[in-house]
Amino acid sequence: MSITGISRTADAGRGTGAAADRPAAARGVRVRGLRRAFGGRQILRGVDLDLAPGEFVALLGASGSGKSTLLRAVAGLDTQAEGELDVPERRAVVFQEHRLLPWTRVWRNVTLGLHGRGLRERALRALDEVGLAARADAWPLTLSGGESQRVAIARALVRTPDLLLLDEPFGALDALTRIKAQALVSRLHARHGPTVLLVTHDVEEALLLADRALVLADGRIAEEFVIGIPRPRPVDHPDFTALRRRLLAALGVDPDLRRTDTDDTDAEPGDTPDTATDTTATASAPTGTPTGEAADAPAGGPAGPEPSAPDLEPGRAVAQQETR
Amino acid sequence: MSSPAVSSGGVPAEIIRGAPPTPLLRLLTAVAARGRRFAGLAVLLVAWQVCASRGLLGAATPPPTQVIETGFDLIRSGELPVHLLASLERVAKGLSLGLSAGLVLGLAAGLFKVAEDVIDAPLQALRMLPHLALVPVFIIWFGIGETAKVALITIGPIFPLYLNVFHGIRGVDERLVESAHSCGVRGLELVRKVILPGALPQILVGLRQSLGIGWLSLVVAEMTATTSGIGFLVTDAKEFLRTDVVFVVLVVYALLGLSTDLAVRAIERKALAWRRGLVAR
Repeated sequence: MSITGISRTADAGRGTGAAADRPAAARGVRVRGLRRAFGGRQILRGVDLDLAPGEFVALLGASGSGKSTLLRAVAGLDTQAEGELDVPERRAVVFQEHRLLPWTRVWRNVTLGLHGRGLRERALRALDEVGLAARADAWPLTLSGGESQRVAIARALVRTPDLLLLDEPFGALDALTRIKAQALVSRLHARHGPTVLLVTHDVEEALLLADRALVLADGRIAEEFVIGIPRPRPVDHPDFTALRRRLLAALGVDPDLRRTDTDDTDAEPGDTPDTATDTTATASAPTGTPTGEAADAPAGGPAGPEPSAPDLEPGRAVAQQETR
Repeated sequence: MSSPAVSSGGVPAEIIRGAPPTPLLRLLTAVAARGRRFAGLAVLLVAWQVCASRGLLGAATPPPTQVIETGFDLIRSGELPVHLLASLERVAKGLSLGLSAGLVLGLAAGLFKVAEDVIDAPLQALRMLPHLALVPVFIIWFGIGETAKVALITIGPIFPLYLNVFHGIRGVDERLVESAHSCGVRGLELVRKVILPGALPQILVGLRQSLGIGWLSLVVAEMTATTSGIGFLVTDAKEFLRTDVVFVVLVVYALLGLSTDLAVRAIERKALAWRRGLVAR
């Protein structure tokens, strides 16, 4: 993956070395024994994390599992996290909310914190990549949610980051806008090749975008899934089904919606009434798996899920152990 | 989403929905909108005129026409400009001191925890004191000269501005600060680009309140021991039962307060243009 476009602009504007010139090791991420507590509650209990240069890694976990805490620590925004952090100097963060300064015009938001000449040109080039060059002089409040988030992505891009940190960047978007934004991020990653850490609770999103998916549970990286589906990935790639099942299981969610772990405190509130009424299914779940699978087969995809079904149980066992 | 360029001309929304507005139509609606706003005032003035000329308001109340006439006389004789200038000088001195103090204290308390600990408690205590009750103390301290008057006008405006600057800064969205931080914005640049603009709406509210209190303080300051200023004009006129002069000064007070308020609102319109989402250049 070669670095093109914006990074060249940066060289002209600032005279700093291009990302490609630097040793690969400086562009990856190495985290060892990262710990963070909030008011006595230990959220991260020694996280080890390695990201290869240019790798796209998705970080999943139940809400409250510390995904965003880990991302903020890697971003250098958390001064109280303890542990060993080896992170590229040039990094950019895109948050769930666009966090544009409403009193600053779009293009100045993009170049916020940058100095030197030719800033407007750089902003316009970055905005052009997200398809918003025409709105460069608009006030952020006049943009739609999707447009604002694209500006936030342009703001990250213009910094030609070696590490791009995405904290549920599509969480607040509607379903259609989200698909477009995901495609945009995928394209931009292919073109510029930064190392990416994407925090998300969306299994589909992780499968669509990431080379690897990590599951954070009990303050540690509990499981790792390599997503070897070649890019560009069509949304209906058959391998997704099997991976999705395994990922959901690792997250403590039963893909067949038949049982929940009653001790899973992080389960969504809406799940509880459904499963509470379904007591027979809950009780029979471990032994009832084959019949359930058979019933689900037409909807579950042709060949994908069957071979991976045995993997499901050990995977879940690990997840249960790790989840409190 | 609608194109914001359409509404940039300041045209009321009703027109945009209908046929394309011609310049004449725009002018007429603008005049009508202004007219509505002044209608109430006009009714009041006419009622005053009618009642006063028929003696319904007592013999000592002049009709508006007489107030205007007297006003012009006072301007022509040079009396009003001289006294107005003296008053404006006091207000200018007092406000520049008071507003600076309020701003600096508010900024310090808002930006630094240490400063908050030191500044906030005494200021909150002083704020509860009606500053106009300080008149006797100031006269004892500073005598009956200019210093006591300027001091009174200085003290009052400090508190509203301090309070609004402080809370404006504390109210700035923490997430915006964090995001600016992640973009490498630090120190003074952070204050200039993120914190102050974020606090500005609140700061301007404080400014309006402070200016109002400044004018109020002027009235009280000039009630005792003066030989100049529009407050003296009132005291003097009262001695000779010149109610028309008293009314002229009341109108002047109103106009002064109104003009500073309008000035701040003009600043608001310009500085907070982003809130209306205008694509104005």
